[in-house]
Amino acid sequence: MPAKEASADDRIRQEKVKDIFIVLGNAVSAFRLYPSENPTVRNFISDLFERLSEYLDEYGELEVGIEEQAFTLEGRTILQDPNPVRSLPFFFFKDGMKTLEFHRGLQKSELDGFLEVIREVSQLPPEEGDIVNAMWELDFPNVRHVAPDDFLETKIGLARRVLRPELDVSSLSQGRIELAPEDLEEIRKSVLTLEKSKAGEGAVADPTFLEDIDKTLAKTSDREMVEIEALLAANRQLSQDEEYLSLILEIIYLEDRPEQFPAIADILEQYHQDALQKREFRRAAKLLRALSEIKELYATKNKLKSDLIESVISLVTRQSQLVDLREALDPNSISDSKGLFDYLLFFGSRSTGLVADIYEHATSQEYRRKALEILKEIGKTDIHKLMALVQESRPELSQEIIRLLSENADVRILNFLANIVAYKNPQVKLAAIQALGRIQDEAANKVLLGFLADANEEVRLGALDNMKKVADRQVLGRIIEAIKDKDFAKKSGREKKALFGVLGRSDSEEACSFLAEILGKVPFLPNPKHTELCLYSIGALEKMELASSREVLKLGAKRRHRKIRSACLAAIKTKSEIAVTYTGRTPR
Amino acid sequence: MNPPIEAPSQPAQLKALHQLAVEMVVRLNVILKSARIYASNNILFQHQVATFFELIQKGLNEAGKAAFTMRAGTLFFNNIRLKYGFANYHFFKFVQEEFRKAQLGGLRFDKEVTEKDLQILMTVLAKGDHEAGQPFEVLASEAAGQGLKHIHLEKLAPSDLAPKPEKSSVKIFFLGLTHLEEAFTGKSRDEKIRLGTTRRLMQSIFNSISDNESFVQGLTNIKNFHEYTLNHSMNVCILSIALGRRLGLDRNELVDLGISAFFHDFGKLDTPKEILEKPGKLDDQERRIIEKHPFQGAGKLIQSIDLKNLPLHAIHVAMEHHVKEDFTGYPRYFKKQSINLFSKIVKIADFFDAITTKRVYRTSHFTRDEALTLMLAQSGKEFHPVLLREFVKMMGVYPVGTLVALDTGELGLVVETNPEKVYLLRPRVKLITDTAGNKRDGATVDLSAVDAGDQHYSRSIVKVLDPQKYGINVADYFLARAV
Repeated sequence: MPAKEASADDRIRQEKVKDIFIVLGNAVSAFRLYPSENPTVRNFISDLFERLSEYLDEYGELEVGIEEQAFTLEGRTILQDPNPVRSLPFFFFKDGMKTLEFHRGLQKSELDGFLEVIREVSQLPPEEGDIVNAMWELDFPNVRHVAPDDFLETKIGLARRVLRPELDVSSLSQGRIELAPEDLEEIRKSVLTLEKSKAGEGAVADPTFLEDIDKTLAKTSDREMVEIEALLAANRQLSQDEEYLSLILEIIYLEDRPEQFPAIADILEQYHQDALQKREFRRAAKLLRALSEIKELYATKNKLKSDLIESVISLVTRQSQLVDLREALDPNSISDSKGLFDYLLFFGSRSTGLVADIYEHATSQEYRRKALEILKEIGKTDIHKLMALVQESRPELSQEIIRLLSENADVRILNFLANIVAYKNPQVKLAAIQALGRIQDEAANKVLLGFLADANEEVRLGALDNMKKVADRQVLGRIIEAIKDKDFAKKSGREKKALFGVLGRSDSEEACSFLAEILGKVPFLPNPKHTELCLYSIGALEKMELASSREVLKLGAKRRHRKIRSACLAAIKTKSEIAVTYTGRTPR
Repeated sequence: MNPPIEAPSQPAQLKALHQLAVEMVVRLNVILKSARIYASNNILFQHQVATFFELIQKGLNEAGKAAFTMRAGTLFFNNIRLKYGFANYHFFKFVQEEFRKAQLGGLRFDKEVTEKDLQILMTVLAKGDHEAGQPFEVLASEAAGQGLKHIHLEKLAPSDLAPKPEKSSVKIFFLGLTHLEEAFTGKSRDEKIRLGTTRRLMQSIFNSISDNESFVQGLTNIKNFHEYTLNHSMNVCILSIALGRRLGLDRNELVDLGISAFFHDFGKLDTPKEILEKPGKLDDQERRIIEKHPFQGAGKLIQSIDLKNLPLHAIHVAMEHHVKEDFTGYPRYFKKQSINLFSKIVKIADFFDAITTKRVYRTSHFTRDEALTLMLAQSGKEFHPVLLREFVKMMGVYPVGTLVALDTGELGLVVETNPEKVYLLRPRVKLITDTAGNKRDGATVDLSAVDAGDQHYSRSIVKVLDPQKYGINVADYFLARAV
């Protein structure tokens, strides 16, 4: 329809609308480039809102027509934009919008929402974005649009004729309908009843029928309304991801066509990837757990299906998943740590590297504890994987691994612990030493010997203290040699004491003889070093349970050296007290 | 120029006004119905008007202005969009329908409005001639003639005036069928179905139902057109959206529900045609095959549609639409212990449409009212009882499309139910024969109309008939309205 000649008022109005749409275009451009809090964006929106509000206050509503390259007002072009890439008219036009309306009462939040939806849609691929869809769903009260259904005709039925029945309307008025006798008879009876009722002679219809209607079509009760509201609420609170997984698993459970499994595997893989990308490990773990269950279920019933499910599990838990996860995961920002660790359990020993990384880099004690739990589990089936984690570069983890390995005092780890002698980190060595101490095996004592040459005194001390009940002559011989060595004097008091302590704990006659020899030697001149040795020997003898140790002490108690003599007496007394404690009798 | 009406900015103020407006809509609903029954000097009618007047006064005092507007099928009061829930759905539906029929786009009440003004308005509205070519003009003229001063009537915006909504609805129906056919048959394995078009289609169906629910329900009398599964899916889609709307689902939910219903039988693509169309009873193996279509359909949907656009509910519905309320039926789940709400809704619509459709393997079928009776007998076991009851209430005692014999000897087709309890047995009916049985393109009559002379109902239903028995294709009468 041709536009009529514009009056002066019309021209003013058109100018206002044009300005509004120029500002709208600027706002949209800014919105597409910057975040919504950006000052430039906010300024454009404020300006636009002000102009629109002013216009709507004056005119009540603003309705513009949308053409392929232009906005129009009452048939007149007010703004043209031929560029199809950024053109705002085309953006609306391509999805079938014919008019865009703003109404009095427009709120700023609505305008924000409108611009936001334009931004979101314009960021989607053309075949996915649909501004009409988006606006319809958001249903702004004061920003309306008209998009006639004809648009659907451009999308549907392109390759074929739109289905439509042929109808001869005139046939509806031609001919007669002859009712069957049985129907006529029933009609006759009903009409009779009705006439009687009109005349006040009876009920209109069967009372049971009316009662049923009453009951069935009665107003919805409060209880029923509450039930409906509850159904709606529950539906709205469904976890999309959980439900989706639940459905997929049911499909797997029911599906018996082997050729469908590759497609199902792809879907599960996508689901799995999505869960990992969103760091929703609980979901991923749930998937694997359920698949394992279904696999077990079919293991005897349908081996082929069980194998197919196993192949799905293998696809989903392939090694490269761990590699990717390892690269992408920040151990200090895991929101679903329980889920993560549950998930990693499914990978078994293949996850040791990632778990080790988590332990190393996580600051949360909770995460570290959980990581160790997993490693412990892994260690139960693959001890070598754990051993491989013990490295110089990971001192903290290495200590923990060693501790884990030693918890079961498994002699298999002896060779492994022996290698730690060569490590530089003293803490790791001490962990190994403690582990050896827990094993309480002669072989462990031999390995501990290796630490006696360590440069670090704490390491040496640790090794000595962890040599329990030494009986091996080679080990004892080494200890005795160390005491006899000229460098013994240079050792600290603690270390000297520790060396003698080993002899004391050995409870061996050979050790006892050696100690007796020291105690029995009386130097010609006072010799502090010798006195020191005697005192250490006395300490060791005190620890011994051998009867001969008491004898040696008795001999020592006769020494003229007061210190030695007192020490021996004290040692004897201690031994007696211990004996009474043990036997309840005072020893002779 | 009318001064602008500012929408209230404070949330509490907004809420209070919204509540007041909803109360007014409820009152308006009652008054208009009273006005149809009672004369203007009737005490009950006047009491209703007085109550409404008080509400208007309250609105005027609190907000300075009081105006109802209707835009794109939505009611506003002082530019506040009025939202309805399940509890007051009927009132809104009725008032919106009245506005639409009268082409009324707005009612603006001046401060000086009186009870007399309201009485005039209600009487004129209730007795308006909706069949007139320009109903609004007739209404406005009548109102002015009776001296209506302080209430201003506004016509619906041109964009809200569909030239013939029936035409649009029919077009949408068949576009839907075509779209389904494209989805069911036209796609190669690698080509995903783009749901953007499907969503637009659902929006159009929603708009159609909002504009003229009875007519759109009438279109579900189209059966076995072209391909049973396609036609059936379209009918189920319409019935599901209508029921969902009634229950209070919002727009997005209704679109998702529509999509879910649309594709609920997608799995039948993999069911051999000879089984689907076998005339006799299925043997055990054939039954096992057909019982796979739910989970196969669900799997197919996941493969055929872009996952980020596929509503989750569509998978639920495809999977569960044959699972009964007591968890029997098929398929039998491994772990899952709940049935989705949308599945329950679609199940009802699916069952209803299926048993009211004549099929080669069925020796008998049911008329629409018989179907509802049968379904009610299965309430609790097969269907969720509350949802089923709402469906039955939606369809009415005489569902749209029911062929009825009247006490006058005429035959008619129900074109609109009457939700009022007192008029449950008195729908609006299109006369398709005269008293002698000659077919004609008769008027649409309201069976609640009373003869002015003897004060008895002019026409009453005396029997429901089976249209198939008389070779009557009910759908034709609805399609004819779109010509």
